[in-house]
Amino acid sequence: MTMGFAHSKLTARLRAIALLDDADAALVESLPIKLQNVPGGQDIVRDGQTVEQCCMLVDGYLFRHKIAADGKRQIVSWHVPGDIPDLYSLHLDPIDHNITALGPAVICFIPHHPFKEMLNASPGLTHIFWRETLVDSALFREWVVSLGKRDALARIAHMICELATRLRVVGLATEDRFQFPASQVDVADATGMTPVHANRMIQQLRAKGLIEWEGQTIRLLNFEELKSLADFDEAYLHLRTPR
Amino acid sequence: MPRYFFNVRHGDESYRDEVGEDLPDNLAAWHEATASAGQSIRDLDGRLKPGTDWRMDVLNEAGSLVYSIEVKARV
Repeated sequence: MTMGFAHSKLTARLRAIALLDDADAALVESLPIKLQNVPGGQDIVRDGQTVEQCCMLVDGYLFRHKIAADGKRQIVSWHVPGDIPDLYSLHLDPIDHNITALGPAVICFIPHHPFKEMLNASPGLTHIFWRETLVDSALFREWVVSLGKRDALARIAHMICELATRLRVVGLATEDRFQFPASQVDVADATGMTPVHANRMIQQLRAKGLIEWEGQTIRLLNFEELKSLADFDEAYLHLRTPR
Repeated sequence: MPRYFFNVRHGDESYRDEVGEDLPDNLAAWHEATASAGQSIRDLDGRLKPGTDWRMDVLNEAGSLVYSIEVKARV
């Protein structure tokens, strides 16, 4: 995988969420970045750490999580290629959660200094990345609603709908299937359930003929029905049609 | 680690756990059962009617009953 590939992932992502002119695209492509392969389960950044670079996901999945006082883990977001889960580290220090690779992943690091210089040079890009952090917070609002008010079946269904929709934007989900290397425990920790309860909900979605979940592949058998059960409306993702 | 199965029955509906969960021992299975039962009952959201019962059975790999949690709804 080349550096050019990582740059094109980033510009494609920015084009998916905003109008990106050629001058801004050239600025993005001149960012010095460093590609790195990480094995599944590896922490990229840890709670309390100070970092001098942002991490963009190029391939695979990352997730953000926090550990409660009793050692229990809450996963607070999934990340798909093109995401920069620690974008806020440009302004907030130290990091207040962990970011970990779900399965094997390819990431790239963008040092803070050139990143800030690029933003100083382009109000357009500043607005685009500002918008990214706003969309990030919109996802958190939806996550809170799920954890607080949706029943367990809808919570899992909603998580699947969100993943499928976000992956389609970056071209990684076909009409009806995508790879997702999460264990039963990962899904439980994301949806606020015990593994036993999460497993039962997945079996119920399967029994209703809405999904198949074999190994690391999720297949959507009836996406419209799944969205309706999940109370899923993609408006909160604030997607734009790629141009 | 031994595997445990968590079956649920509620009125006429029943769910047989075909996958199970690997846990260190019976005590861990009890913790998992009580937490999962709590979550299931939260989602019943009024659907547990007086006169029907809700029940979770925890089985070991040999199929023997290890624990049962029962919620009886009476008028």
